[in-house]
Amino acid sequence: MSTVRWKKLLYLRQPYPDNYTDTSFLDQLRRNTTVAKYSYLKLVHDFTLVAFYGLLLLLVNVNFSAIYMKLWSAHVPTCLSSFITTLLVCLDSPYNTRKRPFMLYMLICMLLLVFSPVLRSLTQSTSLDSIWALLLILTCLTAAFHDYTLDLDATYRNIMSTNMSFANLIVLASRLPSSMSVFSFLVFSIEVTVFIPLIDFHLRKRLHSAHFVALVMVFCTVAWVIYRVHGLLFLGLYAAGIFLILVCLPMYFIFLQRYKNELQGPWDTAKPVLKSIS
Amino acid sequence: MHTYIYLPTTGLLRKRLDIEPVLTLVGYCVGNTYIVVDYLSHIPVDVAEIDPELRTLGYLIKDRNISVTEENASDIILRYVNGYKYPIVDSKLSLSNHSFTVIIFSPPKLQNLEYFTINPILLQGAEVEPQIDFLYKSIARHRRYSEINPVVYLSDLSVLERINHCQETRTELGCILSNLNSSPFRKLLIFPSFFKAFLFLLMSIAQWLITRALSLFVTIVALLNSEIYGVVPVEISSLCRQLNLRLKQLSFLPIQFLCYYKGDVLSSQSRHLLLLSFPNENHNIKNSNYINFYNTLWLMLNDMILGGLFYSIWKDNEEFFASQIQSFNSIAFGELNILISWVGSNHPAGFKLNDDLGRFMEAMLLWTSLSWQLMTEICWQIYGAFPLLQSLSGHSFSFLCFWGFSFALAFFIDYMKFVSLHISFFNLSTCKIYHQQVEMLKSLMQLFRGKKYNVLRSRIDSIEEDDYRIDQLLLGTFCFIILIYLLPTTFAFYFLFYAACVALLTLTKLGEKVIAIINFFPIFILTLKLKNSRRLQGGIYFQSKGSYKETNWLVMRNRALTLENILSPFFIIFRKQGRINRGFFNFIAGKRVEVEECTQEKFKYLMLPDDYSHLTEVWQSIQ
Repeated sequence: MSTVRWKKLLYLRQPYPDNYTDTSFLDQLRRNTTVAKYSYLKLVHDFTLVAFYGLLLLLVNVNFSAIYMKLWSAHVPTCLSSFITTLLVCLDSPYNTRKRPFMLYMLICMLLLVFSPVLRSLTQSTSLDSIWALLLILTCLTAAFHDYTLDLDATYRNIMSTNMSFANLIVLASRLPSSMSVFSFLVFSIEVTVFIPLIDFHLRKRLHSAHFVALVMVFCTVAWVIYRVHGLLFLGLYAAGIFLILVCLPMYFIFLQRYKNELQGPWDTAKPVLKSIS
Repeated sequence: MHTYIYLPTTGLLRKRLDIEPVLTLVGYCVGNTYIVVDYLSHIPVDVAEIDPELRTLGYLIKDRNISVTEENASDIILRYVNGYKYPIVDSKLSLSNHSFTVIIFSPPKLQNLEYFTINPILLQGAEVEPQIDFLYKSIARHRRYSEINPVVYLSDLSVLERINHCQETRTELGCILSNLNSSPFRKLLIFPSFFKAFLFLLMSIAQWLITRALSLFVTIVALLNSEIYGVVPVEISSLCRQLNLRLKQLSFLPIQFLCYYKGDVLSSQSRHLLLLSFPNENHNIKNSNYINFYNTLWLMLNDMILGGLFYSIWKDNEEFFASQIQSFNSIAFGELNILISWVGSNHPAGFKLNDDLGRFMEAMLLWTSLSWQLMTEICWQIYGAFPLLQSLSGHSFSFLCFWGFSFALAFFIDYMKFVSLHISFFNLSTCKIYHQQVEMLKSLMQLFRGKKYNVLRSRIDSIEEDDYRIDQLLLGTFCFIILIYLLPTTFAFYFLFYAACVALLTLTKLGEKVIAIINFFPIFILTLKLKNSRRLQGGIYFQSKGSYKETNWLVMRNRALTLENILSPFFIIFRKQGRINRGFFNFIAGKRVEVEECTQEKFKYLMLPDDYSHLTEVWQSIQ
């Protein structure tokens, strides 16, 4: 080897062959610098959020099929859910700021009440199959776009998902036979899919164990409803699904980490840092 | 040094030299250009009497041996060489180091409006203007001026003007020659004094009549173009539009006629008053006015003859036409109502429309349609009840027909528009509903996405934390979903009436295209092209005829306007008539059908003045 030290500069004429690779070539290579270590428990906790929202969506849909199959009237679950929501709101917010959520609540109720006859006739001429297809698509989109707020300090912005779930609910409600049941069903669904996640977010901020209590309660309710409506087989499927989400998916997530192979080195093209305008 | 010699073809015969070995060339000399007017065997003494600039230019001799007595006074000596058709310039007799171009032309008859011009005549004010400016520029670039002998070209007005007046000068020369040869005789036309007086009386009566007619026409035109309760008659009714056009044409005819007799009849001030654009120059003014005048006259006559023909056909087949009108009525009311009910409550083509909204709109539209039908039926009943009204309308229809076929056609178009008024009303209302709904959906879509339109900065912002209120959001989504589901129903009605409206507009367009053919077809120009294409000056061209030593020969001919030149402005107007603009995009966006407006282009095409309010003044000022 020649005495001249090799330099990583193309424009210099150096006494080395063209395909020469110096030992110092990969010195500065870094692997997986940005990869974080996950703990299994933390992951399970994060997946409970997904499971919670999924359970709520399931509750609404199963409740719909129960009403649609005339297993029970639309008013019963609405009364129950209204009671629970009111209670939660009272617990959640201090006395002097309670006025605004109630005003809001009343406003939405009035709105739904006024528009329920229009809503009832909205999809009358559409066939049932297209409604089911729409239901599936919209539910998946709702779950995908939902803001699960892992970071409690961030603001809760959930516009897309709320809109989608609301669109979904209106499509479902328009299949119900009477205006009153449309109204009841919509109130129930809005409470379950819009307010409960919101309240849950506030609960988690204050009292973390309350979130788990809520999760268990919802889990039990849904299990009972599924058993009533669809029978034992679906209950089993349901339990298996929840197990999958809460236990298997975090494991799978950790398993996937080993395939992470991120390379970083000085040869990466420099990225100009632009001042973001937003 | 290069010299141009223009030789007229008439009188340029080789055989003539067998009889008379020397012919004198009489003509003009402008700079380095010689324009020969005539070949004379005798030189009249007083050539300069006709024109002070006219003089003897040189001689045309049979062969070289013949000596010319006044050789010194001459500039050019021409002679024939065996084997060549045209004479050459004898350079031995002239100064050396010269080259010559002999340009042969056949002298135009100016009184027949034949002449040479570099600028093509513009017969219709069209958007496509001939590009000749750059030619001028390129000529100007190649000009080389010498102090001794200024170089002039054909493009100089003095040269061209002398060529154009060649035939006149020849006739005058001929007169002088005959005077010299025979005993002096002058033709004298003696008008008897009473005949003169009678002519004067006739003229003044005609003038008075024309002035009255003009002021009447101008008043009617102003009335047709004025706004009455926010409605301009010309804009809504084809009949008014046709009347407006015809009156404008008629009232401009006298001035056009005078312009043809004397090109400079209109002063620049009166042109300015009329807002009249005069794209032509010199002889072209006269000629274009002549051609346009007769074209207008001819088209009007054709129109009237067609109208008369149509009236007699109408009279013979009155039942047939009545049944046609009846069938149109039944389509406009019966068939349309069936379609409305089909869209409203029968799920058209299997589309699942909203039943409640559909039924509501169906009921509303049917009710309006029925009441309009009732109105028209009442009109017909009133019309049937009064025989006086019937005979009056019959007479006015025949009067209309004899005004021209275009008027009858315009009347039918108006009738069609009147009967189908409910369709345009439905189109308007469904259009509005659909448009509003689409606009609302557009803005609600932003809310659905979690964005909002910032009016102050006209951009789309994302919704901030402070604005995030769940009730607003739910209300927006609520409206969005409802509107989305109702959109197909409103769209179905919108589409139905849009299609109906477009069908009606197409019918109207067809009728108006026929009217446009009757009004604007350049029939006189085409016949003139067949008869004498030299009168449609489209510039000149030179044809090379070879050369001999220092002389080269060119033949100068008129380029006639091509069929494309004549017809393309007409086709532009024809194609523009009733064209629907942005049809598809307007349909999607829920805007109204946009029909292209080409009234201004039409008046420009006919070269009519823009402003008619001063027409009478201008006419009186001409007198």
